[in-house]
Amino acid sequence: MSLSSLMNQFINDFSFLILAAIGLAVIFGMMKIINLAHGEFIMLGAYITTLSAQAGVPLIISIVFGAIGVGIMGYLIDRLIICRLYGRTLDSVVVTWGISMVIQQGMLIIFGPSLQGVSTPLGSVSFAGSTYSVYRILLFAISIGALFLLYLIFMKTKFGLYSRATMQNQEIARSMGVNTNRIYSMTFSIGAAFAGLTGGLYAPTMAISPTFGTGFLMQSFVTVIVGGANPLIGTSLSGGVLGIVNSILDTTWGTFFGEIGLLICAILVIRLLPLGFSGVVEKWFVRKRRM
Amino acid sequence: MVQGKIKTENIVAALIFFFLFICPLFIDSYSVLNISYFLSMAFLSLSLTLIWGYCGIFSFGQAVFFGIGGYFYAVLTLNLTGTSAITPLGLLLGVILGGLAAWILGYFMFYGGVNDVFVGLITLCLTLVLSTFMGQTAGSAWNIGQVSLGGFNGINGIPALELGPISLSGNNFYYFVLIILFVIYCLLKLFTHSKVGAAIVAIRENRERTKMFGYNVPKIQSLVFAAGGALASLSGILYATWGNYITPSAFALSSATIPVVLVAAGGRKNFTASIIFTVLYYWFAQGLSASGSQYALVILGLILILVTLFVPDGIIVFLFHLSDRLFFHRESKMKEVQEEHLHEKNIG
Amino acid sequence: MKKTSVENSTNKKAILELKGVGKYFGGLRAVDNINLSVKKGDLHCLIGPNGAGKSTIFKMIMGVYKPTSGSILFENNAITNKRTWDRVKLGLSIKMQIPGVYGDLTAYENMKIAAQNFYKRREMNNKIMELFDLLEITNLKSKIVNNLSHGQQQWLEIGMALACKPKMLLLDEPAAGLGPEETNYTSDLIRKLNDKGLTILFIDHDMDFVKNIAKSATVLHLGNKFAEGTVDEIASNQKVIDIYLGK
Repeated sequence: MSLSSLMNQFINDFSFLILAAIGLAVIFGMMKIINLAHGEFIMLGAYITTLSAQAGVPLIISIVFGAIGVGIMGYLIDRLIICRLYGRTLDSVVVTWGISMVIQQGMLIIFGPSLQGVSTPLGSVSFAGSTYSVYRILLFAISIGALFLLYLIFMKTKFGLYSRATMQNQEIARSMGVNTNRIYSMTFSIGAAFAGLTGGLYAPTMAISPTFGTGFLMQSFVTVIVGGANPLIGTSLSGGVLGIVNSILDTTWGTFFGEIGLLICAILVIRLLPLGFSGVVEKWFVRKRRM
Repeated sequence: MVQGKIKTENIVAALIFFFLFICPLFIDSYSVLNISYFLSMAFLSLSLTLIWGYCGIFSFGQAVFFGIGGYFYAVLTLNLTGTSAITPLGLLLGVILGGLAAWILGYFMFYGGVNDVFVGLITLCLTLVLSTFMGQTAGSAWNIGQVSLGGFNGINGIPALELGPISLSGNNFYYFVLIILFVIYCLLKLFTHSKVGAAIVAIRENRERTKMFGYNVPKIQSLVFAAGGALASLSGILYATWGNYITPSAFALSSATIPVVLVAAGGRKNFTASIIFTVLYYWFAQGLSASGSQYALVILGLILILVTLFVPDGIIVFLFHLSDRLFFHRESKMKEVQEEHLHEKNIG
Repeated sequence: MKKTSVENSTNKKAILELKGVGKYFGGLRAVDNINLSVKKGDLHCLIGPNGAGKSTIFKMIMGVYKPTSGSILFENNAITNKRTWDRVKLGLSIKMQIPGVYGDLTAYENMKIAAQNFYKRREMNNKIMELFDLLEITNLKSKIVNNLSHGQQQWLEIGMALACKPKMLLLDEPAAGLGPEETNYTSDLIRKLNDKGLTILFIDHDMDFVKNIAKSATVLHLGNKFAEGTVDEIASNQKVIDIYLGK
């Protein structure tokens, strides 16, 4: 195991974990809804991107289409279905599973078992004796960019302020004139858009099929469990830590043990820090402020 | 909670079991075989009804215990073919193993304060990992004794159950499954009226409060989870002996979630409802796949969404209550509760 | 810190003692170094404005929270590290602030859940009916609890707490949200139970209610013990009156 191959693996794993989890983390952290259709949102993003790229749209714009398209669809799904289930966590699990069945099988019926993909752009570079895929490095940069975007949305906009207020205490936020239902719909839509973005970004690197999203599911759930309720702090910290664990296991023993390692991390964290990394960080901040 | 009252659920259950006992007399052997498969899967739904519906433990992990049971039975019996009485022993040990595995997992979760949706997430991750693991066991490195785990192809040629000289296939297998189902159904019904049965409902309704009535909540949760694991394992073993094969798809995401869907849609707090809905579903799905329709999953997904939105107690349970009101003029509990909610809405 | 707790138990008559108990949430000090001792047969009140740490103390007595420091003794045995259900079996029982009843079940089923751990099947029914009679809610026994009034739910929960064979009963705001008549009924009930020899520790912030029933009281303020004594002493204590007027 050389340091450079480890580095290469870490770049891959970190960006994969962050991008897989970010949409799920937004919806879970802000709305306490476990979105089991998350994988299907990612898959839809990949389909939209691939289809528009094949229609001649430049790849980067196709990816944006993927994010926007899935964001709109997320908004519709929320208005039609999810908004009736706010506060019913387990029912929302069941209903999002129903949604995922419909989307996955629907795509199978419409587009068949697989779709001609687009090839990975940008080639590769050699650096310090080993080759890196430029696109993979770009994904790493984008994953950090996505976290930054999340920071901007939730910390720097009025919507972000309202949504954090709603997350802390729905009743108070509502009594101060915040339309909490609209905040939830927007949040769900933003989470879906992030999932669509992820699908679009990974569309050129993987085979496109209706089960495209399944490959992201385990990683996304583990990252969110380990990260805890705060999508920004949680996702970035757990993406970093799990990325290190995962890349070491991947390069030494292979993908399977990488997955087992993630699962064990998730179980340990639920056992020891049930609020995840962000819970610990928040507690630490509270303590610091009080002293 | 009073036992043996005349109400729709009990009448329907009695009629269904009566029909199931006599139906091999006038349907062909192929249908009998199919129904034995539907009934084998009913144990999986019963296991989830017990732990989720009654005890409030939301698990995606029943497929794990289903698969463990099936694989264990396959490996044991194929390694010891020719040994007399190995198949019933395999069944028994497999069920115990499923229960033990569930108890260990439950012990770590419940004593560690892991609950609610996090149980769902952990069990979901476990299912995914096991399905990945089983998928990559194609090589000879993964032989247990003389049996290869076989990667995606799984294990074939699993022996049928034998009770002494009687081989349990065809009608024999059907009656074997049916009798076990009937016995377990009755035991579960009795259990819900027992002391522990009342305690698990209390745990479902309010975990923290129940501790303050002197209940060792994690212990009870672990034991109920173990019982659920044993039932799921039984289901897996019956499935493996029914088709003589088992593959990693037993652990796949769809296998993990199907019981949740069936139990939620039928009525998660009602054993009769979940058996009925499970049998209906497999019947319906088989009919659709036989006619080559791709729409089965879409329809199923839509049913799930609509049921959760409009009849959250489950469709079969809803029908039971409806019929209770029509034919037995009894104020069902559900109605009282609903009226109360309406009342509250009117005031608020 | 855990072992030394038994040494200076000067008060032999105390059924419950808190020694230097503190609780911190993160950096937030909810309860700070509280010493409290409740005598057997007492009807003692913890009084104090919101945020004084009353409910936190109850939760530490019941084992919901683990104290950050100090120890808790019940009948001279350290229970600081015992789990909630073991404490209940030793004879501690609680009625919570927000009614802890099972809303979808009938009143009788609720009582059964509480009683079945402590009575044999044959005695249980008699005991439950006895408690229903005592609380004068026998007519409600087959009603779904969600359909009962707030007061009726409070009384049912007291009944459930009594079904756990308590030696000591904790009541968290037994009169909160009740009308004047219901409050009178509740005070009578609490006095009646205490007259039968049951030690009761309760929380309230309504001075009139406390004056009416309590034998002694402890005033808490911002997580600290502020004053202690008989109810008359407390009620005439100028400092106590001040914190109640918000000075």
